[in-house]
Amino acid sequence: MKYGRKSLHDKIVFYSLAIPAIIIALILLLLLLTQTSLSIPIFNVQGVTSTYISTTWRPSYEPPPTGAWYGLLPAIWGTLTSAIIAVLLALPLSLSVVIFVEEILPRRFREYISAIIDLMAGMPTVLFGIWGLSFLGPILQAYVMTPLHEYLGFIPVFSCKPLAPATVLTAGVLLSLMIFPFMVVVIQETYRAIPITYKEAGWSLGLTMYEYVKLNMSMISPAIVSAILLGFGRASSETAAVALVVGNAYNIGFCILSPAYTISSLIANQFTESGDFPYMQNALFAGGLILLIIGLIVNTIGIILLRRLRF
Amino acid sequence: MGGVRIVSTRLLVGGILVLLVVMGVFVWYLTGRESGKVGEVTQTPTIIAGGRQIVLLGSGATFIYPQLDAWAKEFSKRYSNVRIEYNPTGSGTGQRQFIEKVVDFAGSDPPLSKKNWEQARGDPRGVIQLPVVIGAVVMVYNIPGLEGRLKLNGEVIALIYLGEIEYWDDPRIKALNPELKLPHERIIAVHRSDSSGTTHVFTLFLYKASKGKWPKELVEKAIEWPVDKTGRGLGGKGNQGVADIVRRTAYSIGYVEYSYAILAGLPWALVENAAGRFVDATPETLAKAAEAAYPLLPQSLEDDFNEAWEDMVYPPGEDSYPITSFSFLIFYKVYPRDKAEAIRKFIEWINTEGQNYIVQGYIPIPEIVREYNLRAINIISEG
Amino acid sequence: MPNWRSLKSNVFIVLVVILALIAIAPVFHIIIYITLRGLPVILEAGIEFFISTPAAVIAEKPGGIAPAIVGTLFMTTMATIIAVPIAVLAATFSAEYPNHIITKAVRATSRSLLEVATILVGMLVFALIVLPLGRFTGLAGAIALAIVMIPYVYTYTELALLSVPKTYIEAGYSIGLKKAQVIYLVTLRIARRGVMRGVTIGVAKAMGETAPLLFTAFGARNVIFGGPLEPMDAIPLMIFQFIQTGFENWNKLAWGGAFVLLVLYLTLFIISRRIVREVRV
Repeated sequence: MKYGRKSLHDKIVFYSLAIPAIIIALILLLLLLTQTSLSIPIFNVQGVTSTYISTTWRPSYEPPPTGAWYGLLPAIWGTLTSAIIAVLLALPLSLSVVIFVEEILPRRFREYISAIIDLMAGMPTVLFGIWGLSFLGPILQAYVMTPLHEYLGFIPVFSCKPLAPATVLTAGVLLSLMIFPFMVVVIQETYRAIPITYKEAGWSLGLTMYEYVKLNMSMISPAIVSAILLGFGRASSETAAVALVVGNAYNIGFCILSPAYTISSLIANQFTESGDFPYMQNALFAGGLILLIIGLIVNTIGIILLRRLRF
Repeated sequence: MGGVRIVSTRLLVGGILVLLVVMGVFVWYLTGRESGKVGEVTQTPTIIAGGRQIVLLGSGATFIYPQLDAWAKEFSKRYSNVRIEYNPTGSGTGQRQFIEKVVDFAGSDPPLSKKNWEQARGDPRGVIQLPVVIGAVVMVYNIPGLEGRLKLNGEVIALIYLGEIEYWDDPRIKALNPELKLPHERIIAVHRSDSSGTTHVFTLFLYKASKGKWPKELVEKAIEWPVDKTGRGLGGKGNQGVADIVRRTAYSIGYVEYSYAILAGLPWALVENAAGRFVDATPETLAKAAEAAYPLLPQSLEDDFNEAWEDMVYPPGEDSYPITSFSFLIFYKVYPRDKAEAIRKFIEWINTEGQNYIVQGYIPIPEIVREYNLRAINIISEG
Repeated sequence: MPNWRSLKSNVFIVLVVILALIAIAPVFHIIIYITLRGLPVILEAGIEFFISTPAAVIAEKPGGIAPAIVGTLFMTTMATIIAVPIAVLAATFSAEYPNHIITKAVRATSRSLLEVATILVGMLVFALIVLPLGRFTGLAGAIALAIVMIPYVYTYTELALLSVPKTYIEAGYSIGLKKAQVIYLVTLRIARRGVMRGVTIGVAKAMGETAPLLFTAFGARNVIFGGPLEPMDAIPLMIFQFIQTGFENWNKLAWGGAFVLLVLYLTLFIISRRIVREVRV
């Protein structure tokens, strides 16, 4: 009956609700269109592939390819490495929090922990940023990065001397603190959805806590993968906090103790002045485009994985 | 719905509404208000242009922003109906917005590029450029245990940044510093990672002062540093970034604007000038450089400044510090009536009284250049 | 064997507890650290901190952050005014026509927008509004913040609307209410707390954003409120820019501003928690 009558009234309701909905749906399309169309000029002069795989970033008043050259690989590399470090650190943290809350902590304290997790998830990122810049970075440099380099310097990732507190590793550590709350939420929701009969079956086998948790986690492994992907998406798209702690140097290499750029910090740092040079702004839009594509792919896979997991 | 209600929805909505009203009143109360009583107001405020509110909008170089901001604030205390809003968007953006006429003036480290200058000159509103601030690039270093001041010349600095000089006790550095005990440590050369006028001035100096060692292709606002390929180069974001890295890195050297070296508390090297003397960067030697460069300035404020700007880097003169440049404010020749009066007053003020409000690390321009700038007052007209 | 098993399990439990505490501790440290560095600045500056513009770097006192506070209030309010109607109506559409193609498109978009880098929103608004207008404006900043806010409000509203029991809606129709009346008088009314929670969370998010404002509002600090078509400051923007300078006065303002932002955020956070608790009882 609800959908049966198509009176004028219903039509008015339909359209007055549909138009705002269409506006929202258009935002993403508009984002894709703008990023693409403003990237095209740089692709025309440098080529798509060489824009993304070149390591040279050379602004100049002379347009590319002879004068300036805008290769985005170091920024893409910085984005990927810092986000991977973040996820690697955030995964054990978020799994521990879920196990701690679900299996160890008395029920009545759960609410507090989930409040803290929510608090962290919504915290303005610039607050993480200034804390990272003035506290975390110097601490890591003195007590983590320098020892890592001194004792494990033979491993390529620690081979460079940590000369500044702002490095890829600092960004990764800070990002891990910013993304783990999201990963906790994703994992926790699925963990709670495991049917109670499964859990009871686990206990009745006489499993230890470790074996029991391991069994449960293996049941929700797609949710964990999804949390990893969503966390990675968050980490790669963060701007303000990363721009403050990543060091902003156009380096590429395997060593994570050196400063680098990420795509978003490159845009944050150089966008306003990019009007100075021909094609530089287009190059930054090309960076935005790849960031958008990475984000969309990672999130879509993450959400599909989550949806498949039904008990 | 039973149970304990912490806060009723009605109360919450009411609370938010009250909060909004309070905020509204707050915003209304403060709207258009200038800064409160911060610092001492030394003069009684004057009004000009019949007391109408005038906003002068500027945009451009980040380097002169702290100084210009200090001037704008002092000026508004003196002339209470004029407000100057300057956005540090970067020299290039400032130049573009000036050409597009969306600002009233622009700030720029290099003067208008030849192309922009020709376009602006062809326009009925015209263009004048005023060198208002002296910029100096100093070579900061961090050599633990070193007693005495390091001396360097363009050639040695170029070889360091080319990666050809590897150790601090290299004979070519020792030759300039026979009295210093230089360590056998690798030199870490720190440079800017972002595009910057400072890099432009520095590389131009290297090109002019290195006896052909530094190639012309490497004179730009951002370059690929040869020393990076040896693994002894490091990039820092902004003057701040370079100064931070040098401060934290033993045996490093870097180039930063004079004001940042002072803020960072780092020592800097004496640099050999065009007359062959090793000169410290001090307000005096920078002023001397500006004076020595004065004859190189074009006849008229309406002319192209590019050549003069290039000449000023590595200027003549016995006591001139060698790595210097001017930063410019760029104005139109013709303004609407009220604005013309405000602009004239502003130019007059910064070249007279404004010189008493110099931010630490910035260098006041010498008398002779101030007089040169004051010619603008007779050029700017109402239309 | 059993001993080995339980030992392994006990080590595991200890490890889990330690890691969980490591994960949770930093947030407290951040709050304490920002308070310790920010509060003294505000106490020292007094009321000046809230009603003055930042002083020149040569001034004896740092001045205040009134332009940032007013800018944040203005842009967040404008963003709310733009975002909430659009998001709530769109969510109502999704709840009313759950299988419609538009619903699917909106859901997908909203989910993606939640995750998309907010700096891209800044670039979008720069290209569509700042460039044609030829200048940075507070309005552009507000629009960018609205885009950031929309998916939050939409998601929470849709969730709340879908959880309204069908019987209430049918009861509404059965007493002869028209569709618009049912939506307004029954569905939205029952779901209003969920909507408000979405709005609160959206406001908290928009208020704390830096990246979308970098090239839209840009920041203007010599006047407290210059008008919506002028560049405008915001607290996060001011923090981001001032903390990166070497000037002591400006660093102080950044820390004081961080404390203000923290307090605003905590307030909104507590409000949003209270709304949830109320729903649950």
